[in-house]
Amino acid sequence: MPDRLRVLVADDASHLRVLLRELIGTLGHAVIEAADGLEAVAQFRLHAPDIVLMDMLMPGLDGLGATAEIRKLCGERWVPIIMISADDEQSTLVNALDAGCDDYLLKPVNPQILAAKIRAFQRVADMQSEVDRQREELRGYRDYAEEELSLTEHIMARLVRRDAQLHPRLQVWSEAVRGASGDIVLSAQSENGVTYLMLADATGHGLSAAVTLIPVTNVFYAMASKGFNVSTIVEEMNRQVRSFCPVERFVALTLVAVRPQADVIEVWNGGTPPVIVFDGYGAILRSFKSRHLPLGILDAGRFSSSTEFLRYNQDLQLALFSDGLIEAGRREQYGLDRLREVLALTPMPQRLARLQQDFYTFLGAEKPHDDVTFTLLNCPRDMAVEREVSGDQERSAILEQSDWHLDALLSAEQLKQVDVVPMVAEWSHKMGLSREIGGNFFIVLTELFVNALDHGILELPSAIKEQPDGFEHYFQLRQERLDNLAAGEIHIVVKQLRIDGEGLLTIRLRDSGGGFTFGARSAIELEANSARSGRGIGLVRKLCRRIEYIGNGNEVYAEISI
Amino acid sequence: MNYAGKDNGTAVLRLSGRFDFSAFRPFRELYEPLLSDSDVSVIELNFAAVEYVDSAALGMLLMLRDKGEKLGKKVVLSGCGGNVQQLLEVANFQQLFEIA
Repeated sequence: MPDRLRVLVADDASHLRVLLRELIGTLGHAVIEAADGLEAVAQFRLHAPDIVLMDMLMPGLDGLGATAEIRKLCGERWVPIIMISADDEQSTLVNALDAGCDDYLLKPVNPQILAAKIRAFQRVADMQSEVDRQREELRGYRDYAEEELSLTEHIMARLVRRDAQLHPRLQVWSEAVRGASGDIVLSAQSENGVTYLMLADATGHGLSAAVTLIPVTNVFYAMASKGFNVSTIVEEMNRQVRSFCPVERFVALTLVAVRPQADVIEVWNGGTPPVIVFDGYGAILRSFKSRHLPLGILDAGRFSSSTEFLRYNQDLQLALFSDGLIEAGRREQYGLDRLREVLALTPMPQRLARLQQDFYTFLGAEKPHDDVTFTLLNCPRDMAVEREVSGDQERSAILEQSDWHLDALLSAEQLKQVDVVPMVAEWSHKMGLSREIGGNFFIVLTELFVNALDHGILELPSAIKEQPDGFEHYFQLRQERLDNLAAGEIHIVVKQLRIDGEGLLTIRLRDSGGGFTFGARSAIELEANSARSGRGIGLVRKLCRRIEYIGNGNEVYAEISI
Repeated sequence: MNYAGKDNGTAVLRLSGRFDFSAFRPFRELYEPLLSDSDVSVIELNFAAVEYVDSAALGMLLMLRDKGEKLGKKVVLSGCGGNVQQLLEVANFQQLFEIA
């Protein structure tokens, strides 16, 4: 309220109005006068005064009636009204207060009391206007929060790409705490037939969570579709989250790759509950626990992207979930044990429905306090190598039919640090290799490259894989030898050309490995090993119109028709 | 939560109840004077009376660790059990913090 107030004085006795005007004037305030109740209402409407002094008894509309009218005019604004009367009967006082007055002054008006009351109401009015201001501010915040929520919903809906619909073998259940969840599940198929599944849980909920998920999601779609390694993908995600987000905003994440050619499941888990692998009968084959810190905490030098593997030869189901599921419940948590038990006791097709039923029975009327996300991915033993042929851009037929060639020489450091095959595949696409052929090319190149690196350069015998726990041992040994690799080269030459009108893609790959000089590795043995330890080379043979090993087996030549 | 005093350069904060985002302000008001206290070289957060932590609370720990690191102060966690221990384990925070 301003220091100089505008005071409405309503009294039918003009000498009293003069007296009050003088008095109020000496206090430094301005006076608006009214000679009866109706005029008081009219003046109030016209001048919107800060305080009203209202005589009780006036001709026509009396003080009580005028007060009631003025209160109606005020709406949300509060204006103090002081009733003035010669009558000190209790009932009169009560009537005045009931009619909407805030205080009462007895005639004859004592100047000091009047001054004190005006000061008191000035303080009350100041508090009132502060309350009004805060209420407006709160309304503003509420509107802002609603706007943020709708933005968040928009972002989260766009993060799950519509052209990459959820995998047909994937089931997802999610329940958000407020409006938008901080959890997200994405799946993708690469051109070489690898299925990728990602579950991410960002700190907090709503917009702040959605914002940290944007870089993660972008990296996932960009790199998974091109068939990059799980390690390469999580390294890039970590780099992005760290550069985008403040330290307290991190992303717990699990990334799974299922490679049907090799019957291998690969997992990186940083900060999410274990990935549980069930067999067809509900037995738990493996739990991939969180081995790493969530994304966005460590710098690239300290971040660990090492993954774990599971080799399978039967129908499997993978369960991925966020901590909101197992931590639900105030007094007692739903818990990992109960989750495991429910899933194990239920046949594969009914697992999700049974889990939901059990979870809501457990919670009763309670609500989960964190976002709940649960997914199941089926991995049948004889999973066909499915490939997503993305029709990303219109390519000119001329480009796809023109000749090009790539000649790349990779030394030890590249072999250690670069995810070579997806890069060569991507480059070949850019040169004009069609997407349809691209998938086959990718599979063939992967197989030949892995053979050259693992057996040629790193001298790993395939037979290790056949021993109990051999698969884990194999990968451990592979990582050790790769880390310590001092010398070694792989030379890749890829050509697209036309001979007599027929399109042809040729791959020539030579490694510097000395294994063949020891006589331990022949072309035939290598093929036989590959056939035993995976379906890889058999598939390669089907996809190529010609494949042959040259020299002592350190060079391979393959042709694919286009 | 409260400040339980310091001994030989180690200041102890006793956290309690639900340690989640709602604890952000009181937590900050407790640790800020410790960061500017040159006698303090270790800040020990005692979780013995904490019933529940969430990922936002882990974020607050990271923030304190970051601020402490710049001033040459170490953050140590103690009294972790139940849900707290579980969450710290899943997030692999033992790689970042000394857990007493």
